[in-house]
Parts: sequence; structure tokens; C-alpha cells
Amino acid sequence: MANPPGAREEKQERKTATTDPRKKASFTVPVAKGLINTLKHILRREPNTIHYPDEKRTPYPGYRGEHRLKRDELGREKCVACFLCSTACPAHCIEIVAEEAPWDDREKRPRLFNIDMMRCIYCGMCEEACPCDAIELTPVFNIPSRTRAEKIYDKEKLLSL
Amino acid sequence: MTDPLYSILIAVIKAVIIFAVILQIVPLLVYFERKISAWIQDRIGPNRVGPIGLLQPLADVIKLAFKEDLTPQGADKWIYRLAPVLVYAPAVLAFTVIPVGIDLQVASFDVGVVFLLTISGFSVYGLAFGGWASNNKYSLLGGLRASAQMISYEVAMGLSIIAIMMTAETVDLNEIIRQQWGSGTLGLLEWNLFKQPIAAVVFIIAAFAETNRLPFDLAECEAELIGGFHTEYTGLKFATFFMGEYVAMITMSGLMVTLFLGGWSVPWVEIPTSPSMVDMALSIGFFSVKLFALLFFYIWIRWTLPRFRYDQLMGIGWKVFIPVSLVNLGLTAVAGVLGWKWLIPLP
Amino acid sequence: MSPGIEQLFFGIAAVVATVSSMLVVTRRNPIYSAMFLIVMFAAVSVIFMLLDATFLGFMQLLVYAGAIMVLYLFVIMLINPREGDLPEESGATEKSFAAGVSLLIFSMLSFAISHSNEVERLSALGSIPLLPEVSDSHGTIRAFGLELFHNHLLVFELTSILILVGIIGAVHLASRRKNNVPHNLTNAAEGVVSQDV
Repeated sequence: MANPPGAREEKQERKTATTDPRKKASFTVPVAKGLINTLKHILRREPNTIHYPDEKRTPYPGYRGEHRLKRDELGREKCVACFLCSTACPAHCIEIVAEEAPWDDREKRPRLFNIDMMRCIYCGMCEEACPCDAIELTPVFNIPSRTRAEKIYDKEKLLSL
Repeated sequence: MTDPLYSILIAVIKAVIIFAVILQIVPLLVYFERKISAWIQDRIGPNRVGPIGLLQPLADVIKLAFKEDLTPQGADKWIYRLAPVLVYAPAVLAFTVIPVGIDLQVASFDVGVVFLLTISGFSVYGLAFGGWASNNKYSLLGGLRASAQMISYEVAMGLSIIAIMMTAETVDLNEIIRQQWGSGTLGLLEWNLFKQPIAAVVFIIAAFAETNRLPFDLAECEAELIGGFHTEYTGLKFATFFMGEYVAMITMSGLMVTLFLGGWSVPWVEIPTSPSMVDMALSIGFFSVKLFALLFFYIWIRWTLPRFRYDQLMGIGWKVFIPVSLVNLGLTAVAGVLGWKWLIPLP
Repeated sequence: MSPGIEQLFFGIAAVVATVSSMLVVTRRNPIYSAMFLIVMFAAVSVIFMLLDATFLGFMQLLVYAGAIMVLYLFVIMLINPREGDLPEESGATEKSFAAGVSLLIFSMLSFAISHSNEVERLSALGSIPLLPEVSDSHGTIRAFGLELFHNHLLVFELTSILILVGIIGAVHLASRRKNNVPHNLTNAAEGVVSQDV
């Protein structure tokens, strides 16, 4: 990786100016530089922030928000209750209870599928672990709730997201 | 005019007006501070309450007024209550001698500068007592730092004021302003900022330290002292501390305008001998513009520089500013006696 | 200011000064003592101002209340005495002894004042005449400076030499004495010292 020219000298200069306690620090030039810098920001006025509830920022691709469970083309949940996601989960926030599936193509399906969103760390390991591509993290990040109990999502809620 | 009751009445009216105006400037200043800090940090700043967020300070005041007024356990109740007042009162009181328009001030003393220096130095007791009475080690440290800092920088500040008094050969603030007037754009050079540059720089930096503003706000120090002397204060007591800080800032800026920036005069407008209402309004306008320019400088500095370390603060105060202002004072004295106008332009 | 108002202010200032100086002695908590001492200085400076010595009054306030008391306060807060740390109040014997000494000094002073030439001259007149009006320059910085630097120059310079000696002494006491480190500490301290400098 090629350093831009002058980067090394700049680093050297910074070290002698501030970090060495034996050297007497000189304030005049750094203060003037800083003042000019902040003045530029005042005059430029290009805020990096947005009016959040009015304007919404579109998350970057790959953003990890709240989970959802996917359905297949027949409208059945894709999940086969293999417990791989709950095993992979570092926060132990996925609770699955399996039951026998009424369909011929799989043995099991989840009777209960709860995710405790208050414990979830949104790491996406469940998504990685899932062999059926049944669970995924959506870009949605702003579903509020008034109680902790509301933040434990059950199967219906996860499927409806 | 000679009736004492009449003059007392006039003084009271002036005092009430000044008091009210300062009280109104404080929220405005808080708004400016928040807005400018937002711009510096590429944010938007308050914009929800009222048009472009102008009513935000009002909302803050209402919030503070309705907060619970706590007194910590083991606190010395009387001193704890007294401390915010001791910060706020001197700052307002000191403003009374600053001429805001042509010969217009609440109290015209023959020793105005000395009065101002004395009274504004008193605000340190509020910080020290408040820090002590809170019964909290961080508050105590804040109070300690405030008192040490105040003593150190008051000396440098006093010495630089003495240099100004020596060049002006008077302590009458209006007279000092008149001497700084010169006609035309070149008249700007008559300002003490250019006649006494060393004193001006020392004074401005010492004023930052005296008003406990960044980069010298070691008495508060959110990072290490969790707010310092006002850690335990809530509600309106905290608001009083807060307002005291801002009023002190206004007073110090007013003094700087008077001493170094020509006060209510500008070089392009002749000083009238018998001012009309228009002249009066103009002079008040000039003063306000300069005042706000300095207040902007205060805010600008605050959001640019990080806080100094405690040893750096003391080092700069005692090893740089006091010797420099002493040398400046000596030079001014020698130049005054020998009449060296090329060194220090004397009247 | 009319004489009536002046007397009123004098009365207030005198009472405040006396009461607060008593409180300075009687308060157990040193912070309170310091606070009342500040009040006392303020009251005394009001009395100075009533005597047309405005500059002197403010100097009293600036130097004593504004600077010296802040230092005192600094020291008190550094020690930070709480109710339990304060020493036992001295017994009745000491208190009565102190009261006796104070009373003695007070009576001596009042005797001296009431028998002074000035008071005897005034009492011979029957009524106390109004003091002569002072000149306009009285109490101004100019008059003050002239008095200090012309009429009392020697005393002034001697005082400044005294203060200078004090400063040099303080600097000497506070300075780092590299050579006077006790012998067994020298080796251990040397590394630190040389790094420090």
C-alpha cells in the first residue's frame, strides 16, 4: 500500500509536537490552525446528520436489523427445526420447540420459535448457520415496544415481518 | 436633577433595564452556543422548538424549573443554597460599570475598572463554597481548582489592566473609550488592541480562565470531575450556576470591548458632545455588535480547543502570562516616563 | 450623599463588621469562619468608601477578600475538616482567660481614645463639629499614589523589600533540592529525577 507523499513527515511532526512530554509544547500555531479549521466548518455548513424521524436513512446492503422467518412457495415456513441457529447463537436468544411436520418432504417443523430481541446482538450467525435459508436479518431497525415481553418475537410475528 | 430621590430613581430604572437585558441575552447566547457548536461539528443543532429552534432555551428553562430540587445528604444546607447566588450576583453587579452607550452605565464610579475587577473576582467564592458544601469529593476538587485558577489568572489580568490604565492615564472607562477614537479607517489603530497588544492577549486569555470557560474549565471538567463544583446541583440552582457562567462571559466581553476595542465608539462616526437619541441608539448598537463578536470568539474557542491539563494551566499562568505582563508593564512605565511614543503610543 | 443616609450606612456597616468578626471567632467550622471574615472585610471596605476613600475600599476588597481569603479557603478546603475531625473546644478556663484578655485590651483602647487630645478638644467645644469638606482629589488613585510614592516612599520600598524576601524564601522552600536528598534515597530517586528534568 503506497502512502501518500508527505504522510510520513506529518506523522513525525505530530509526534514531536504533542506526545513527547519532555518537549515544551508550543500552543500558538496549533491553536491558530484549529481555529481556522473550525471556522471552515462553520462557513461550509454541510451537516452530516439528518432530521431523523422526518428523513430516514436507507441502511447499507448487508445491514443487520430485526429477524424474519421466510416462507417457501407453498406458503409454509421454510424452517425445519434443526436447531442449528440456536446452537450458533452466541447470545442464546433463540428458543425452538419442534414438532412433527405434517408434510412429506421434511421430518420436523417448529412449534415454537421465539427470539428474545433484548438479548440478541444482531451478529447474523443464525443466518449463516441456517441450512434452509429460513431465517434472515432485515434492514428494519426501529420497531419499538413498551415492555420487554413485547420484544420476545414468536413464530407468527417473525413470519409476518 | 440634584434631588437625591430623582437620581436614585434613575439609577434603579437603569439597573432594572440592564438586569432584564442581560437576562434576555443569556438564553440567546445559549442558543448561539448550541447552534455554532453544531455547525462546527457538522450537525444541524436545535431546530424543533419555535422557528429555527429559537425557543429551545425557553424549553430548557421550563425543564429546569420543573426538575426536582435535590440537596445531597450531608451537604451544608445554607452554603449549598448560597453558592449559586454567589456566582450569579457578582457577574451581574460587575456589568453595572460597563458603559453600553455614550456615557451610559448604571453606576459611574471614578474607579470603575477596579470595581469590576474586584467584584468579578468574587464569583470564585460561589464555586468554592458550592464545591465544598455539596459533600462530594469531585465537587470539592472542582472548587479547589476554581480557587487556585482564579488567583493565578487574576494577577495576570490585573497587571494587563494596569498597563492599560497607564497608557490611558485614567481609570474612567468612558475616558478610556474616548481616547481610543480616531477618525477614518486608520483610527482603528487607536484601539488599545493595537496600542497594547501584549496586554490585550494576556487579558483575553486570562478572561477565559476567570470565567471558567474552555479551554480553562478545569473547575467543571465533565470528563474527570463529572461537572466539578455543580455535580450535585439540580433544577433552578443549577440554572443559576449556568446563568452565572454566561453572565460572567458577557461581563468580561463587555470589559474587553471597552478596554481594547473602543467600546461604544467606531472610528467612522464622530463622538458627539451632546448626544441625541439617535447617537445613543447608534452607540449602543456598536457596543452590541462588538460584544457579540467577542462572544462568538468565546464560543469559537470553546469548540476548537481541548481542555488544558492542570499543570499546563498553572504553568502558562505563572511562568508565561505573569512575567510577560510584568515586562509589558515595565516597558509601558519606562516609555511613559521617557515619552517614547514610538514604543507605546501614549495620549 | 446626605449625612443621614451616610450615618445609616455607617451604622449598618459597623454592626455587620462587629457581628461578623465575632462570628469568625465563635464558629467551629473554619469554612464558616472564612465566610464571615469575607463579610467583615466587605463591611470594613464600605466604611472606607463612606470616608471618601473609594479606591482604598476597593483595594481592601480586592486584596483581602478577593485574593488572600481565596488562598485561605484553598487551604481550608484542601484539609477539608468535617464535624468529626474538628478538635475539642477548649474548656471554660481558657475561654474566661481569653475573655478577660479581650476585655482588658478593649478597656485600654477605649480609655486611650476617650482621653486623646482630639476627643478632649472636641468635648471642650461642647458639640462635635462637622468635618471639613475634603478636596475632590481625596481618595482618588492620583492622591493615593502621590501619598504612597512621595510622602511615604521609604516605608513603601521597605515593605516591598520585605515582601520580596518573603517571596524568595517561599521559592527557596518550595524548590526541588536535588543535592539534599538523603543518602539512602539518592540512588532510587536519581533515575526519577533525571527523567523528570
